[in-house]
Amino acid sequence: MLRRACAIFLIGIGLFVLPGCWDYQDLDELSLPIVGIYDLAKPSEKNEEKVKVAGIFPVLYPKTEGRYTIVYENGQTVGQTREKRNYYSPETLNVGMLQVGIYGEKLARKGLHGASDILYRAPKVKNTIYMAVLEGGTEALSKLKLKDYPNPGVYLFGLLKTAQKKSFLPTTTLHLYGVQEVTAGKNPVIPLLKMKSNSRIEISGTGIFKKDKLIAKIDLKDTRSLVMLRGLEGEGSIPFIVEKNGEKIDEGSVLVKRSRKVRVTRKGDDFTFFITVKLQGDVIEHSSQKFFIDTKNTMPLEEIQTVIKREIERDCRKFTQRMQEEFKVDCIDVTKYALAKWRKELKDKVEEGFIENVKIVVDVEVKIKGVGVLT
Amino acid sequence: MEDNPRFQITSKQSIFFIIGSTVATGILSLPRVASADAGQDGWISVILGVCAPLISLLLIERLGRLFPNLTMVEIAQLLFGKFLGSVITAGFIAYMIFFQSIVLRLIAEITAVFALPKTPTSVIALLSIISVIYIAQKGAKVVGRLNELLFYILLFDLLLLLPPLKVADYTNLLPVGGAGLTAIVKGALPTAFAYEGMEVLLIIYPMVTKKNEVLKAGVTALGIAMLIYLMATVIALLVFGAEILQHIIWPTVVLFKVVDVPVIERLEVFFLAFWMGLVSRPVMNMCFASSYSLTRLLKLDMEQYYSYMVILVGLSIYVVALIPDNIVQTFKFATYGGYAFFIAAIGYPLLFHLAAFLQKGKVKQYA
Repeated sequence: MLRRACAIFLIGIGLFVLPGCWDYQDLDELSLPIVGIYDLAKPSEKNEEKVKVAGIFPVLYPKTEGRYTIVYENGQTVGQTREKRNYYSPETLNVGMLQVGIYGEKLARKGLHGASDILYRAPKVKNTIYMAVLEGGTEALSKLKLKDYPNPGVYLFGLLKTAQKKSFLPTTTLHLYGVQEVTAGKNPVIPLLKMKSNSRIEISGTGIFKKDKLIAKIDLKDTRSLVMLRGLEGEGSIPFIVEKNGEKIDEGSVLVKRSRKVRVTRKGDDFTFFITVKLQGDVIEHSSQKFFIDTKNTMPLEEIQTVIKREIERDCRKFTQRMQEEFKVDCIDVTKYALAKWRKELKDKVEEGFIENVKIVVDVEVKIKGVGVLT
Repeated sequence: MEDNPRFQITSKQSIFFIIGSTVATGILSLPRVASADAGQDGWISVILGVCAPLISLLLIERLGRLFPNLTMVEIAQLLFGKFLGSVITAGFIAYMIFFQSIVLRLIAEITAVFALPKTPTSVIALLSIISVIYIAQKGAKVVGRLNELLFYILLFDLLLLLPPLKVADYTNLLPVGGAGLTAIVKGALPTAFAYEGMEVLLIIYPMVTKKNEVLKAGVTALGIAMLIYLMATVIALLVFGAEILQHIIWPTVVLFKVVDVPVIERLEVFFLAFWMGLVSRPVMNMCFASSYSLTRLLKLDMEQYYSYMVILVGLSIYVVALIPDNIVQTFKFATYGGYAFFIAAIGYPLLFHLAAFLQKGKVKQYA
């Protein structure tokens, strides 16, 4: 009898605390940003406010004028801006729904470690947040109006999520950034965004980082080479022009999947990286009247393959040269192959003076498999 | 052999008993611990780490063969005398309570960090210990069956470790052996702490119905535990790499944050929802083992007083679990518990063997 009474009493306590009295929260009480915007604050007299943080908050209440809000707040740290937000916002900030992190260019040049630490450290924040650097200032985002989307956050999320899969653009998540910031021999690359107008924002290139600091910006052409050399898998379209004796005989595009293979050899302290970029895909358009599949009047696929191979090899070699002479960081993620063989010896040497002194040999293999439904 | 059917288990149940006692919160931080010294070869340290519990298993099994029908309390009192034997047994019981209080505290901390940040850890720990007390009171048979059932759920939960392989980089494991033998062996020492719980065999040995299968059961259990640890460590190394692992307290849980799963969103909460039930197995097993030993030590009637001992031990575990002020102190306590593991799992059986060797006459009497 006593035992049963004890069991009932204890189970009663369990039932009482089970509903999560401490952690229960109504959805109406929550403020759920889907985009976090981080930038440097303008220098002020007090000099205490160092960062400017904003979020794109979808409005959950029905029948309101606006469907989202963008609220900027300055503070000494990102955490302090959240505290200050509580002075005027009735809802409790919950960052568990963050999908995108946008960083101002100035902050990126200063270093992203401080702004990314709060996200990486938070248990609620998923590490698949897509990151991007906004060229210029982040205040322009508040003027962005996209009539075909409920809020800019949905648009940015979709844009960054699919970029790498469907074009020669990189995608960087918080996880990838975190690993590449900390690991020896690795450096992150983050897509650049640019506001073309108040109704248009697009990916304009890639930010090259040395650990957490933005050191260079590259345009879309170099981004194509970067993506191929770095081995970021996806597919994209490449135009081609086939010329013979100075005359254009064909022009068109191929849609190719990309991959890479890397091999490293060593002679003493001289390292050579052999990068093979593999492009495989189909012709999706061409202007010539010649047929691909016919015994007469054929347009050989090999010629298109050769033209593309030549162009990509030239661009990739130009990019690797720029990387070694100008950036002096490994932004194509090849050092890991050397570390995979000589980690103990190279671990402390790869951050400075390594990539600029290696030899990089680029080879491109192009294989066109199909030509669509037309001959 | 234990006569009371409530305290009898099969050799198959002993496998799950041992797995249940070892695989708990250790797996969540093991990749970090294993790669701290050994770097990319942390997974080799995990394999080497099984040597310590293997030695413990051999020593305990041999000891059990010398005294097949005696409990640990009886063996200690036989070999060391009533008083000293009781002190030695009390020390072992105190170790089990301490070890389980750390596990309980870690369960509460992890739940608080990932799922219930505002709920006090004392409340989370209380909820866990209530269920532990309830199950442990039922006896070895029920505890053994529950361990078996929860093991199959554990296997399902471990399947959730596969999606993060989407972002794996095989070069993170290379070069194999590159860290050097010294670093790998150094990494094996803290990794051995993950197998803490093996020493429960000292208590449950007399309960196993087929004693000749205990060694095989123990090796099977350790093998399965090692494979589970290896899986978590290799996947964490592949996804994160050794360097960033040192920045993450519980890399096995953070693994679930690196992939997007539609609808579920936060895969780690899904994983933890199952894990919270699984991770209280060692507390349950050790609570049972300590209560059983304490009842025997105090020479109380098992049927009448065992349940009250469970409540007493459970509350002791709970109270000790609340001692550390924060997560940093908790990990410090866990390190002390790790060193105590070597004393309990290897020191105790060795001591018993030494005493048995010096008192061959008494051994012959009970062989």
